[in-house]
Amino acid sequence: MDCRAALLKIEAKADGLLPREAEAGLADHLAGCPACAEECAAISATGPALRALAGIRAMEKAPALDVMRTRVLAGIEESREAHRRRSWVARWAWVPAAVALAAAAFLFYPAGTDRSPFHPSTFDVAVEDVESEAATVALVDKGDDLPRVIWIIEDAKT
Amino acid sequence: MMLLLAAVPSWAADTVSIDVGSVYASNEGNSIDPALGTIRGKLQSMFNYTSYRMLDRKRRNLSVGEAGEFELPGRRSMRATPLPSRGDKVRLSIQISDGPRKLLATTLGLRRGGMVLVGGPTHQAGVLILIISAE
Amino acid sequence: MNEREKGGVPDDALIRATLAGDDGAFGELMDRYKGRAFAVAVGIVGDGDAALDVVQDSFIKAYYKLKEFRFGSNFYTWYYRLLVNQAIDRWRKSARSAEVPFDESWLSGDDSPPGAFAYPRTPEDLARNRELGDALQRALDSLPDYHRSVIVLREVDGMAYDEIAEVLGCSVGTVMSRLHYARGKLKEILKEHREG
Repeated sequence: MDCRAALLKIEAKADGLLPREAEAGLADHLAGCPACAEECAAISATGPALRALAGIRAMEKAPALDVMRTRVLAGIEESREAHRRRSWVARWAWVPAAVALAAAAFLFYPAGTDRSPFHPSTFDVAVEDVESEAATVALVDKGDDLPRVIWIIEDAKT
Repeated sequence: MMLLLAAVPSWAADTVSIDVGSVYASNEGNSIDPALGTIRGKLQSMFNYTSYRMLDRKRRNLSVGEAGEFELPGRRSMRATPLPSRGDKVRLSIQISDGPRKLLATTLGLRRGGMVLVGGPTHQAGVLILIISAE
Repeated sequence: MNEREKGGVPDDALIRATLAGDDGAFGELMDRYKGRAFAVAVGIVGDGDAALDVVQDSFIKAYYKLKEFRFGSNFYTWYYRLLVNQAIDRWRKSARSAEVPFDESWLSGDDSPPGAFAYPRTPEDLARNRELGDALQRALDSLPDYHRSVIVLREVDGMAYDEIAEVLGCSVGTVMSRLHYARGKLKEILKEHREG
């Protein structure tokens, strides 16, 4: 058996597809060919190494995996509610990228300019001052029963 | 610090409990973290994202004048300091930084049990929204 | 609600129960496959948190598409198709996919004589050899999406060629050639980092 043939058999063996009768021939070749033996070891090691990598990640995320069932069933429940709510919400949908443009509706604090207090509403937050070196900040009031939002629009990083 | 505390009335020396939840909002998938509890619905009414996940939540009890550091996802950090307050309000000085870049410095007054959202910093494929409450 | 024997109920029965309105049955199905699904997802997206999202989202998709499932076929190959597509989508949108140029310079032309081949076999082994873990991840990241999916499905999940072909919607021949290519890249990393 030459190395070319051996390499094909090595991959077949890795996938459990090498016929039993071919195993002895391969083993003989590997015993006498260090280069092929090294290929075989490396290819055989791929599976355990990748499984070990997945295993490490799974151990890190074990707590979250444990509660996957709860999260998914809650997510499904949320989807159902969201479907019911969607036609109502569509009129009030707020697109963050457009915040900077809707200046008339909001108090707007570009970096470095003068500012004045923000009057509290139901979620009763008073903003006494706002400053930013690396962003533009918008204060957003979505109305009754909803928290105030301080929205940071980061300046482009160079 | 001791001198400062001695100079202010006793009611201003109360501790304030500050609770910060870091939420990752994006359009990847449509799952809403059950850990967000009762504010799930509010987030969905206020923003147009399809997925909200609570990445972290930290709570610290701070005295007036004591600065608390909160590490946030994505190398960002928040420093919150309760300030002397009037009436039933809590006053907070809040600074949010991204490494050396100062994204926000603000002074807020809110009632104990009140909540404010600070959002916008980019995170992965979406944004971070901080849920800040004080008791 | 009837008590179910752990692991005794066939997937088909759990699917029928879910379609009849029993969300708990879907929960059982999830518990059965979530570990394997996570391992496949993390192999494709490279990041634990992203993998959790992918598994969560693909289960939700599976729930809503369950009525399309053909009884008599394998649930897990049907589900894995959703999972792998979700994972590849997620990968393509992630910052990681933009960051990875395929850089051959770290493949060594090492001709040193073979010694005792010691490769990691367990997570603990790999945790001790941080460099290898990082190098393996980089090599995985650099593979084209479908090549990475093939090697993960084959080596991490143990799927057969024909099942992989079904999941990815390609021929067995394509599966084999992608596997050969992906193995070629990964074995060089392993040879470079072997101990001994």
